[in-house]
Amino acid sequence: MFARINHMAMISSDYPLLERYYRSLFGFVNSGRNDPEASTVVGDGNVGLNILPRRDGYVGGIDHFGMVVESLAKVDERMKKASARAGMVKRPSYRPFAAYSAHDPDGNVFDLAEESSKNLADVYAERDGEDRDAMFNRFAIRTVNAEEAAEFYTDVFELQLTNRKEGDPNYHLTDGKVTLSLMPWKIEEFVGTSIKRAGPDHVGIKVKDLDHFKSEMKRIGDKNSFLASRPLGGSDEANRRRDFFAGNALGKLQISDPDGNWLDINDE
Amino acid sequence: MFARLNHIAITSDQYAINAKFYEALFGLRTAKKPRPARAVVVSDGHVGMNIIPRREGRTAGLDHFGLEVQDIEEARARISKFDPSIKLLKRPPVRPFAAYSAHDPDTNIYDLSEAKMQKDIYAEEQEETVRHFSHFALRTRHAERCAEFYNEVFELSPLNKKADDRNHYLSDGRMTLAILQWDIDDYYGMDPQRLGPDHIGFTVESIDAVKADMEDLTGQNPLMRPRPLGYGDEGKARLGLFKKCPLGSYHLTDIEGVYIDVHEA
Repeated sequence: MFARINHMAMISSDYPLLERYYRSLFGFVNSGRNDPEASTVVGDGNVGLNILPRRDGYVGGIDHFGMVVESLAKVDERMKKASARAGMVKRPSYRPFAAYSAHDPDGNVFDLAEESSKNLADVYAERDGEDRDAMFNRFAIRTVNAEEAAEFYTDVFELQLTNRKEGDPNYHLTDGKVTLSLMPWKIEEFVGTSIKRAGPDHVGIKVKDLDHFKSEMKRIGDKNSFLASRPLGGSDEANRRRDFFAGNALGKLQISDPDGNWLDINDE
Repeated sequence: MFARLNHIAITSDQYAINAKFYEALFGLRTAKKPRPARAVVVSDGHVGMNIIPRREGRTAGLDHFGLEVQDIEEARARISKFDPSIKLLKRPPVRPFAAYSAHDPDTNIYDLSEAKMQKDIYAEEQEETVRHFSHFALRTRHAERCAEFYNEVFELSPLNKKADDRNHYLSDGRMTLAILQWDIDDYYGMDPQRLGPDHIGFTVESIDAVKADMEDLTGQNPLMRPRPLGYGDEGKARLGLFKKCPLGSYHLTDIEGVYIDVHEA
Protein backbone atom coordinates (compact mmCIF):
# COMPACT_ATOMS: atom_id res chain seq x y z
CA MET A 1 0.00 0.00 0.00
CA PHE A 2 1.05 3.57 -0.61
CA ALA A 3 0.00 4.53 2.93
CA ARG A 4 -0.69 2.77 6.18
CA ILE A 5 -2.21 4.01 9.40
CA ASN A 6 0.61 3.77 11.92
CA HIS A 7 -0.60 5.77 14.86
CA MET A 8 -3.58 7.09 16.73
CA ALA A 9 -3.50 9.82 19.36
CA MET A 10 -5.51 10.62 22.46
CA ILE A 11 -5.24 13.57 24.80
CA SER A 12 -5.76 12.92 28.48
CA SER A 13 -5.58 14.67 31.82
CA ASP A 14 -4.61 11.28 33.26
CA TYR A 15 -2.35 9.98 30.53
CA PRO A 16 -0.14 7.62 32.62
CA LEU A 17 -3.26 5.90 33.91
CA LEU A 18 -4.58 5.42 30.38
CA GLU A 19 -1.25 3.84 29.41
CA ARG A 20 -1.68 1.31 32.21
CA TYR A 21 -5.25 0.64 31.11
CA TYR A 22 -4.27 -0.18 27.53
CA ARG A 23 -1.28 -2.23 28.63
CA SER A 24 -3.18 -4.24 31.21
CA LEU A 25 -6.42 -4.86 29.33
CA PHE A 26 -5.13 -5.21 25.77
CA GLY A 27 -1.53 -6.23 26.33
CA PHE A 28 -0.20 -3.33 24.27
CA VAL A 29 3.48 -2.69 24.87
CA ASN A 30 5.40 0.42 25.74
CA SER A 31 8.87 0.61 24.29
CA GLY A 32 10.15 2.37 27.40
CA ARG A 33 12.18 4.58 25.14
CA ASN A 34 9.76 7.42 24.59
CA ASP A 35 10.41 10.69 26.37
CA PRO A 36 8.98 10.46 29.92
CA GLU A 37 8.55 14.23 29.92
CA ALA A 38 6.28 14.07 26.90
CA SER A 39 3.53 11.65 25.96
CA THR A 40 3.41 7.91 26.51
CA VAL A 41 3.07 5.44 23.66
CA VAL A 42 1.69 1.92 23.61
CA GLY A 43 1.68 -0.23 20.53
CA ASP A 44 0.43 -3.49 19.08
CA GLY A 45 3.40 -4.05 16.78
CA ASN A 46 1.64 -2.32 13.90
CA VAL A 47 -0.05 0.80 15.28
CA GLY A 48 1.18 3.05 18.10
CA LEU A 49 -1.27 4.82 20.38
CA ASN A 50 0.21 8.13 21.48
CA ILE A 51 -1.40 9.21 24.75
CA LEU A 52 -0.64 12.88 25.15
CA PRO A 53 -0.88 14.91 28.34
CA ARG A 54 -3.66 17.44 27.92
CA ARG A 55 -1.89 20.71 27.31
CA ASP A 56 -3.30 24.19 27.75
CA GLY A 57 -5.91 25.04 25.15
CA TYR A 58 -6.51 21.48 23.90
CA VAL A 59 -9.51 19.26 24.38
CA GLY A 60 -9.25 15.84 25.98
CA GLY A 61 -10.29 12.79 24.00
CA ILE A 62 -9.46 10.91 20.82
CA ASP A 63 -7.56 13.50 18.83
CA HIS A 64 -6.07 12.41 15.52
CA PHE A 65 -4.43 9.61 13.57
CA GLY A 66 -1.25 9.32 11.54
CA MET A 67 -0.03 7.57 8.43
CA VAL A 68 3.32 6.59 7.00
CA VAL A 69 3.49 6.99 3.25
CA GLU A 70 5.85 5.95 0.49
CA SER A 71 6.40 9.51 -0.65
CA LEU A 72 5.52 12.81 0.99
CA ALA A 73 6.21 14.61 -2.27
CA LYS A 74 3.53 12.55 -3.98
CA VAL A 75 1.11 13.25 -1.13
CA ASP A 76 1.72 16.97 -1.49
CA GLU A 77 1.12 16.80 -5.22
CA ARG A 78 -2.01 14.66 -4.89
CA MET A 79 -3.48 16.75 -2.06
CA LYS A 80 -3.22 19.92 -4.09
CA LYS A 81 -5.01 18.18 -6.94
CA ALA A 82 -7.65 16.50 -4.77
CA SER A 83 -8.92 19.44 -2.73
CA ALA A 84 -8.24 23.11 -2.31
CA ARG A 85 -9.71 22.78 1.17
CA ALA A 86 -7.00 20.39 2.43
CA GLY A 87 -3.59 21.49 3.68
CA MET A 88 -0.39 20.41 5.41
CA VAL A 89 2.35 21.94 7.56
CA LYS A 90 5.89 20.73 8.24
CA ARG A 91 6.56 19.72 11.85
CA PRO A 92 9.69 19.98 13.99
CA SER A 93 12.21 17.18 13.34
CA TYR A 94 12.21 15.71 16.88
CA ARG A 95 8.80 14.09 16.47
CA PRO A 96 9.20 10.34 15.91
CA PHE A 97 6.02 9.97 13.92
CA ALA A 98 5.10 13.25 12.25
CA ALA A 99 7.08 14.99 9.55
CA TYR A 100 3.96 16.87 8.56
CA SER A 101 0.55 17.48 10.02
CA ALA A 102 -2.27 17.84 7.55
CA HIS A 103 -6.02 18.08 7.32
CA ASP A 104 -8.65 16.70 5.01
CA PRO A 105 -11.30 18.90 3.31
CA ASP A 106 -13.38 18.94 6.50
CA GLY A 107 -10.47 19.99 8.73
CA ASN A 108 -9.86 16.57 10.31
CA VAL A 109 -6.21 16.51 11.32
CA PHE A 110 -3.73 13.69 10.66
CA ASP A 111 0.05 13.30 10.88
CA LEU A 112 2.27 12.15 8.04
CA ALA A 113 5.72 10.58 7.93
CA GLU A 114 7.69 8.82 5.24
CA GLU A 115 8.38 5.10 5.60
CA SER A 116 12.09 5.73 5.06
CA SER A 117 12.17 8.63 7.50
CA LYS A 118 15.07 8.67 9.94
CA ASN A 119 12.88 10.07 12.66
CA LEU A 120 10.53 7.08 12.79
CA ALA A 121 11.39 5.87 16.29
CA ASP A 122 9.96 4.16 19.36
CA VAL A 123 6.95 1.96 18.70
CA TYR A 124 6.55 3.57 15.28
CA ALA A 125 9.73 1.87 14.11
CA GLU A 126 9.14 -1.37 15.98
CA ARG A 127 6.77 -2.94 13.53
CA ASP A 128 7.11 -6.64 14.07
CA GLY A 129 4.16 -7.94 12.03
CA GLU A 130 3.20 -10.35 14.79
CA ASP A 131 -0.45 -11.22 15.25
CA ARG A 132 -1.07 -10.18 18.85
CA ASP A 133 -3.98 -10.90 21.16
CA ALA A 134 -5.25 -7.39 20.57
CA MET A 135 -4.68 -5.20 17.51
CA PHE A 136 -5.95 -1.76 16.61
CA ASN A 137 -8.19 -2.23 13.61
CA ARG A 138 -10.20 0.97 13.17
CA PHE A 139 -10.18 4.73 13.59
CA ALA A 140 -13.59 6.34 13.14
CA ILE A 141 -14.25 10.00 12.40
CA ARG A 142 -17.60 11.75 12.32
CA THR A 143 -17.50 14.47 9.71
CA VAL A 144 -19.87 16.70 7.78
CA ASN A 145 -18.89 15.73 4.24
CA ALA A 146 -18.09 12.06 4.73
CA GLU A 147 -18.34 11.12 1.05
CA GLU A 148 -15.98 13.90 -0.02
CA ALA A 149 -13.55 12.98 2.76
CA ALA A 150 -13.65 9.32 1.67
CA GLU A 151 -12.80 10.32 -1.89
CA PHE A 152 -9.91 12.41 -0.54
CA TYR A 153 -8.35 9.50 1.35
CA THR A 154 -8.76 7.12 -1.59
CA ASP A 155 -7.36 9.60 -4.14
CA VAL A 156 -4.43 10.83 -2.08
CA PHE A 157 -3.50 7.81 0.05
CA GLU A 158 -4.88 4.94 -2.02
CA LEU A 159 -6.89 3.63 0.92
CA GLN A 160 -9.37 1.11 -0.43
CA LEU A 161 -13.11 1.50 -0.01
CA THR A 162 -14.58 -1.67 1.50
CA ASN A 163 -18.03 -3.09 1.00
CA ARG A 164 -20.58 -1.90 3.50
CA LYS A 165 -23.73 -3.44 4.80
CA GLU A 166 -26.98 -2.34 3.25
CA GLY A 167 -28.21 0.84 4.90
CA ASP A 168 -24.83 1.71 6.40
CA PRO A 169 -24.35 5.47 5.76
CA ASN A 170 -20.66 5.33 6.68
CA TYR A 171 -17.60 4.92 4.47
CA HIS A 172 -14.94 2.42 5.45
CA LEU A 173 -11.48 2.61 3.91
CA THR A 174 -8.69 0.15 4.57
CA ASP A 175 -4.91 0.13 4.34
CA GLY A 176 -5.05 -3.68 4.41
CA LYS A 177 -4.96 -3.94 8.20
CA VAL A 178 -6.57 -0.87 9.71
CA THR A 179 -9.87 0.72 8.70
CA LEU A 180 -10.54 4.44 8.56
CA SER A 181 -14.28 4.99 8.94
CA LEU A 182 -15.83 8.28 7.86
CA MET A 183 -19.29 8.74 9.29
CA PRO A 184 -21.61 11.59 8.32
CA TRP A 185 -22.15 14.16 11.08
CA LYS A 186 -25.72 15.42 11.24
CA ILE A 187 -27.22 17.32 14.13
CA GLU A 188 -30.42 15.27 13.80
CA GLU A 189 -28.49 12.22 15.01
CA PHE A 190 -28.27 13.68 18.50
CA VAL A 191 -31.94 13.61 19.48
CA GLY A 192 -32.16 13.18 23.24
CA THR A 193 -28.47 13.73 23.96
CA SER A 194 -25.96 16.55 24.10
CA ILE A 195 -24.55 17.35 20.69
CA LYS A 196 -21.25 15.66 19.97
CA ARG A 197 -18.88 17.80 17.96
CA ALA A 198 -17.60 16.54 14.63
CA GLY A 199 -14.18 14.88 14.67
CA PRO A 200 -12.62 11.63 15.91
CA ASP A 201 -15.35 9.39 17.30
CA HIS A 202 -14.05 5.99 18.33
CA VAL A 203 -11.26 3.46 18.03
CA GLY A 204 -11.68 -0.18 17.06
CA ILE A 205 -9.66 -3.01 18.57
CA LYS A 206 -9.69 -6.64 17.49
CA VAL A 207 -9.20 -9.26 20.16
CA LYS A 208 -8.70 -12.98 19.68
CA ASP A 209 -11.36 -14.20 22.05
CA LEU A 210 -14.20 -11.90 23.10
CA ASP A 211 -15.35 -14.01 26.05
CA HIS A 212 -11.83 -14.12 27.42
CA PHE A 213 -11.54 -10.37 26.88
CA LYS A 214 -14.77 -9.74 28.80
CA SER A 215 -13.62 -11.85 31.72
CA GLU A 216 -10.26 -10.07 31.75
CA MET A 217 -12.00 -6.69 31.66
CA LYS A 218 -14.04 -7.67 34.72
CA ARG A 219 -11.07 -9.15 36.54
CA ILE A 220 -8.87 -6.09 35.99
CA GLY A 221 -11.62 -3.63 36.89
CA ASP A 222 -12.41 -5.58 40.06
CA LYS A 223 -8.75 -5.75 41.03
CA ASN A 224 -8.03 -2.08 40.35
CA SER A 225 -11.06 0.17 40.00
CA PHE A 226 -8.90 2.89 38.39
CA LEU A 227 -8.50 0.55 35.43
CA ALA A 228 -12.20 -0.27 35.10
CA SER A 229 -13.81 0.51 31.77
CA ARG A 230 -16.57 3.09 32.11
CA PRO A 231 -20.05 1.62 31.87
CA LEU A 232 -22.22 2.66 28.93
CA GLY A 233 -25.90 3.38 29.45
CA GLY A 234 -27.83 4.06 32.62
CA SER A 235 -29.95 7.18 32.29
CA ASP A 236 -32.11 7.91 29.24
CA GLU A 237 -29.39 10.09 27.73
CA ALA A 238 -26.67 7.56 28.46
CA ASN A 239 -28.76 4.82 26.85
CA ARG A 240 -29.14 6.95 23.72
CA ARG A 241 -25.41 7.58 23.57
CA ARG A 242 -24.76 3.87 23.98
CA ASP A 243 -27.28 2.95 21.29
CA PHE A 244 -25.94 5.64 18.96
CA PHE A 245 -22.41 4.31 19.34
CA ALA A 246 -23.58 0.72 18.84
CA GLY A 247 -25.47 1.76 15.72
CA ASN A 248 -22.26 2.95 14.11
CA ALA A 249 -19.92 0.31 15.46
CA LEU A 250 -18.64 -2.65 13.48
CA GLY A 251 -17.68 -4.69 16.53
CA LYS A 252 -19.60 -6.92 18.92
CA LEU A 253 -18.87 -5.06 22.15
CA GLN A 254 -18.76 -1.34 22.85
CA ILE A 255 -16.97 -0.02 25.92
CA SER A 256 -15.20 3.14 26.96
CA ASP A 257 -11.82 3.58 28.62
CA PRO A 258 -11.52 5.28 32.04
CA ASP A 259 -11.46 8.71 30.36
CA GLY A 260 -14.63 7.98 28.39
CA ASN A 261 -13.09 7.33 24.96
CA TRP A 262 -15.27 4.96 22.99
CA LEU A 263 -13.77 1.60 22.03
CA ASP A 264 -15.38 -0.84 19.62
CA ILE A 265 -14.25 -4.40 20.29
CA ASN A 266 -14.47 -7.23 17.80
CA ASP A 267 -13.10 -10.74 17.54
CA GLU A 268 -13.64 -11.26 13.82
CA MET B 1 -30.68 43.23 20.35
CA PHE B 2 -32.32 40.28 18.67
CA ALA B 3 -29.94 37.87 20.40
CA ARG B 4 -27.64 37.80 23.38
CA LEU B 5 -24.93 35.33 24.29
CA ASN B 6 -26.22 33.95 27.58
CA HIS B 7 -24.64 30.53 27.93
CA ILE B 8 -21.21 28.87 27.82
CA ALA B 9 -20.51 25.17 28.30
CA ILE B 10 -17.37 23.31 29.32
CA THR B 11 -17.15 19.52 29.52
CA SER B 12 -14.81 18.48 32.26
CA ASP B 13 -13.05 15.48 33.79
CA GLN B 14 -13.11 17.37 37.11
CA TYR B 15 -16.30 19.34 36.82
CA ALA B 16 -17.01 19.91 40.51
CA ILE B 17 -13.62 21.34 41.40
CA ASN B 18 -13.39 23.30 38.17
CA ALA B 19 -16.66 25.01 39.10
CA LYS B 20 -15.16 25.87 42.47
CA PHE B 21 -12.20 27.43 40.63
CA TYR B 22 -14.48 29.81 38.73
CA GLU B 23 -16.38 30.65 41.89
CA ALA B 24 -13.19 31.27 43.83
CA LEU B 25 -11.18 33.26 41.30
CA PHE B 26 -13.86 35.13 39.38
CA GLY B 27 -16.59 35.30 42.00
CA LEU B 28 -19.17 33.55 39.81
CA ARG B 29 -22.24 32.28 41.63
CA THR B 30 -23.94 28.89 41.55
CA ALA B 31 -27.67 28.34 41.12
CA LYS B 32 -29.91 28.63 44.17
CA LYS B 33 -31.41 25.24 43.38
CA PRO B 34 -28.56 23.15 42.00
CA ARG B 35 -29.08 19.76 40.37
CA PRO B 36 -26.20 17.79 41.85
CA ALA B 37 -26.44 14.86 39.48
CA ARG B 38 -25.96 17.06 36.44
CA ALA B 39 -23.67 19.92 35.48
CA VAL B 40 -22.59 22.64 37.89
CA VAL B 41 -23.83 26.00 36.65
CA VAL B 42 -22.03 29.22 37.57
CA SER B 43 -23.12 32.68 36.53
CA ASP B 44 -21.90 36.26 36.42
CA GLY B 45 -25.51 37.43 36.64
CA HIS B 46 -25.80 37.71 32.89
CA VAL B 47 -24.08 34.69 31.34
CA GLY B 48 -24.39 31.17 32.77
CA MET B 49 -21.62 28.64 32.35
CA ASN B 50 -22.44 24.94 32.58
CA ILE B 51 -19.51 22.81 33.68
CA ILE B 52 -20.64 19.42 32.50
CA PRO B 53 -19.26 16.07 33.62
CA ARG B 54 -17.51 14.55 30.62
CA ARG B 55 -19.67 11.76 29.37
CA GLU B 56 -18.45 8.74 27.47
CA GLY B 57 -17.73 9.39 23.83
CA ARG B 58 -17.32 13.13 24.39
CA THR B 59 -14.25 15.33 24.54
CA ALA B 60 -13.20 17.40 27.55
CA GLY B 61 -12.78 21.14 27.16
CA LEU B 62 -14.59 24.26 26.10
CA ASP B 63 -17.58 22.87 24.23
CA HIS B 64 -20.21 25.31 22.98
CA PHE B 65 -22.11 28.50 23.68
CA GLY B 66 -25.75 29.52 23.72
CA LEU B 67 -27.84 32.41 22.49
CA GLU B 68 -31.09 33.72 23.86
CA VAL B 69 -33.15 35.17 21.04
CA GLN B 70 -36.29 37.27 20.92
CA ASP B 71 -38.08 34.88 18.59
CA ILE B 72 -36.92 31.35 17.85
CA GLU B 73 -39.16 30.95 14.83
CA GLU B 74 -37.66 34.09 13.32
CA ALA B 75 -34.17 32.74 14.05
CA ARG B 76 -35.10 29.45 12.35
CA ALA B 77 -36.33 31.28 9.29
CA ARG B 78 -33.17 33.39 9.08
CA ILE B 79 -30.90 30.36 9.50
CA SER B 80 -32.76 28.54 6.75
CA LYS B 81 -32.51 31.58 4.48
CA PHE B 82 -28.77 31.90 5.11
CA ASP B 83 -28.07 28.22 4.51
CA PRO B 84 -30.95 25.76 3.99
CA SER B 85 -28.68 22.83 4.81
CA ILE B 86 -28.33 23.94 8.46
CA LYS B 87 -30.76 22.07 10.67
CA LEU B 88 -31.97 22.84 14.18
CA LEU B 89 -32.55 20.10 16.70
CA LYS B 90 -35.20 20.37 19.39
CA ARG B 91 -33.79 19.45 22.80
CA PRO B 92 -35.32 17.63 25.79
CA PRO B 93 -37.11 19.94 28.26
CA VAL B 94 -34.61 19.16 31.06
CA ARG B 95 -32.29 21.82 29.65
CA PRO B 96 -33.40 25.28 30.77
CA PHE B 97 -31.10 27.13 28.39
CA ALA B 98 -31.49 25.13 25.21
CA ALA B 99 -34.78 24.76 23.44
CA TYR B 100 -32.86 23.96 20.29
CA SER B 101 -29.30 23.19 19.34
CA ALA B 102 -27.95 24.28 15.99
CA HIS B 103 -24.71 24.94 14.20
CA ASP B 104 -23.12 27.57 11.99
CA PRO B 105 -21.75 26.95 8.46
CA ASP B 106 -18.58 25.43 9.98
CA THR B 107 -20.48 23.11 12.35
CA ASN B 108 -19.71 25.11 15.47
CA ILE B 109 -22.49 24.20 17.86
CA TYR B 110 -24.65 26.59 19.84
CA ASP B 111 -27.84 26.33 21.87
CA LEU B 112 -30.88 28.50 21.26
CA SER B 113 -33.60 29.59 23.64
CA GLU B 114 -36.06 32.40 24.26
CA ALA B 115 -36.20 34.52 27.43
CA LYS B 116 -39.57 33.05 28.45
CA MET B 117 -38.14 29.52 28.34
CA GLN B 118 -35.37 30.16 30.86
CA LYS B 119 -35.22 28.35 34.18
CA ASP B 120 -32.80 27.93 37.05
CA ILE B 121 -29.83 30.26 37.00
CA TYR B 122 -30.78 31.53 33.57
CA ALA B 123 -34.04 32.92 34.96
CA GLU B 124 -32.78 34.06 38.35
CA GLU B 125 -32.39 37.77 38.93
CA GLN B 126 -28.77 38.13 39.93
CA GLU B 127 -26.58 41.14 40.41
CA GLU B 128 -23.69 41.23 37.98
CA THR B 129 -20.43 40.04 39.49
CA VAL B 130 -17.43 42.39 39.48
CA ARG B 131 -15.50 39.95 37.31
CA HIS B 132 -17.68 38.91 34.44
CA PHE B 133 -17.55 37.19 31.07
CA SER B 134 -16.54 39.40 28.16
CA HIS B 135 -16.18 37.07 25.18
CA PHE B 136 -16.35 33.57 23.78
CA ALA B 137 -13.85 32.69 21.05
CA LEU B 138 -14.14 30.06 18.31
CA ARG B 139 -11.35 28.99 15.98
CA THR B 140 -12.83 27.95 12.65
CA ARG B 141 -12.06 27.27 8.99
CA HIS B 142 -14.22 29.92 7.38
CA ALA B 143 -14.17 32.78 9.85
CA GLU B 144 -15.53 35.40 7.48
CA ARG B 145 -18.49 33.27 6.39
CA CYS B 146 -19.29 32.43 10.01
CA ALA B 147 -19.11 36.12 10.94
CA GLU B 148 -21.62 36.88 8.19
CA PHE B 149 -23.85 34.13 9.55
CA TYR B 150 -23.94 35.48 13.13
CA ASN B 151 -24.41 39.00 11.85
CA GLU B 152 -27.24 38.23 9.43
CA VAL B 153 -29.09 35.68 11.56
CA PHE B 154 -28.59 36.98 15.08
CA GLU B 155 -27.86 40.65 14.39
CA LEU B 156 -24.57 40.51 16.28
CA SER B 157 -22.69 43.66 15.35
CA PRO B 158 -19.22 43.52 13.81
CA LEU B 159 -16.62 45.40 15.84
CA ASN B 160 -13.76 47.38 14.41
CA LYS B 161 -10.49 45.54 13.97
CA LYS B 162 -7.07 46.07 12.50
CA ALA B 163 -6.88 45.80 8.73
CA ASP B 164 -4.50 42.81 8.82
CA ASP B 165 -6.47 40.90 11.48
CA ARG B 166 -8.01 37.76 9.94
CA ASN B 167 -10.32 37.32 12.90
CA HIS B 168 -13.81 38.72 13.34
CA TYR B 169 -15.46 40.12 16.47
CA LEU B 170 -19.20 40.47 16.88
CA SER B 171 -21.01 41.99 19.82
CA ASP B 172 -24.45 41.58 21.35
CA GLY B 173 -23.88 44.88 23.13
CA ARG B 174 -22.22 43.24 26.10
CA MET B 175 -20.63 39.93 25.15
CA THR B 176 -18.36 39.50 22.14
CA LEU B 177 -18.25 36.43 19.95
CA ALA B 178 -14.70 36.23 18.60
CA ILE B 179 -14.40 34.18 15.42
CA LEU B 180 -10.74 33.32 14.94
CA GLN B 181 -9.33 32.01 11.68
CA TRP B 182 -8.02 28.40 11.96
CA ASP B 183 -5.08 27.74 9.69
CA ILE B 184 -2.87 24.66 9.84
CA ASP B 185 0.12 26.86 9.03
CA ASP B 186 -0.24 28.29 12.55
CA TYR B 187 0.72 24.90 14.00
CA TYR B 188 4.30 24.40 12.89
CA GLY B 189 5.64 24.45 16.43
CA MET B 190 2.83 22.65 18.23
CA ASP B 191 0.20 19.98 17.74
CA PRO B 192 -2.66 21.23 15.58
CA GLN B 193 -5.60 22.15 17.77
CA ARG B 194 -8.97 20.89 16.72
CA LEU B 195 -11.46 23.30 15.25
CA GLY B 196 -14.02 24.77 17.57
CA PRO B 197 -14.25 26.71 20.82
CA ASP B 198 -10.90 28.24 21.73
CA HIS B 199 -11.15 30.38 24.86
CA ILE B 200 -13.30 32.49 27.10
CA GLY B 201 -12.64 36.04 28.22
CA PHE B 202 -13.34 37.96 31.41
CA THR B 203 -13.50 41.65 32.23
CA VAL B 204 -11.98 42.31 35.65
CA GLU B 205 -11.51 45.31 37.87
CA SER B 206 -7.72 44.80 38.10
CA ILE B 207 -5.36 42.28 36.54
CA ASP B 208 -2.98 42.72 39.45
CA ALA B 209 -5.81 41.80 41.80
CA VAL B 210 -6.55 38.66 39.76
CA LYS B 211 -2.87 37.68 39.89
CA ALA B 212 -2.77 38.21 43.64
CA ASP B 213 -5.98 36.24 44.13
CA MET B 214 -4.65 33.44 41.97
CA GLU B 215 -1.49 33.17 44.03
CA ASP B 216 -3.48 33.18 47.25
CA LEU B 217 -5.91 30.62 45.86
CA THR B 218 -3.11 28.27 44.81
CA GLY B 219 -1.66 28.54 48.30
CA GLN B 220 -4.97 27.92 50.01
CA ASN B 221 -5.96 25.09 47.73
CA PRO B 222 -3.29 23.59 45.43
CA LEU B 223 -6.01 21.68 43.56
CA MET B 224 -7.14 25.02 42.12
CA ARG B 225 -3.89 25.76 40.36
CA PRO B 226 -4.14 27.01 36.76
CA ARG B 227 -1.77 25.49 34.21
CA PRO B 228 1.54 27.26 33.64
CA LEU B 229 1.70 28.91 30.22
CA GLY B 230 4.57 29.64 27.85
CA TYR B 231 7.14 27.06 28.97
CA GLY B 232 9.29 25.30 26.39
CA ASP B 233 9.21 25.88 22.65
CA GLU B 234 5.78 24.35 22.19
CA GLY B 235 4.37 26.20 25.19
CA LYS B 236 5.67 29.47 23.76
CA ALA B 237 4.11 28.66 20.38
CA ARG B 238 0.76 27.86 21.97
CA LEU B 239 0.77 31.01 24.05
CA GLY B 240 1.82 33.07 21.02
CA LEU B 241 -1.21 31.90 19.06
CA PHE B 242 -3.52 32.44 22.05
CA LYS B 243 -2.23 36.01 22.45
CA LYS B 244 -3.17 36.87 18.88
CA CYS B 245 -6.72 37.44 20.08
CA PRO B 246 -6.59 41.15 20.94
CA LEU B 247 -9.45 41.05 23.43
CA GLY B 248 -7.35 39.98 26.41
CA SER B 249 -4.17 41.28 27.98
CA TYR B 250 -3.49 38.65 30.65
CA HIS B 251 -3.61 34.95 29.87
CA LEU B 252 -4.24 31.99 32.10
CA THR B 253 -6.08 28.67 32.16
CA ASP B 254 -8.52 26.97 34.45
CA ILE B 255 -7.38 23.87 36.34
CA GLU B 256 -7.90 21.68 33.27
CA GLY B 257 -6.18 23.87 30.71
CA VAL B 258 -9.15 25.77 29.24
CA TYR B 259 -7.82 29.09 27.98
CA ILE B 260 -9.01 32.25 29.72
CA ASP B 261 -7.94 35.75 28.80
CA VAL B 262 -8.61 38.74 30.93
CA HIS B 263 -8.75 42.46 30.38
CA GLU B 264 -9.40 45.36 32.70
CA ALA B 265 -12.62 47.28 32.64
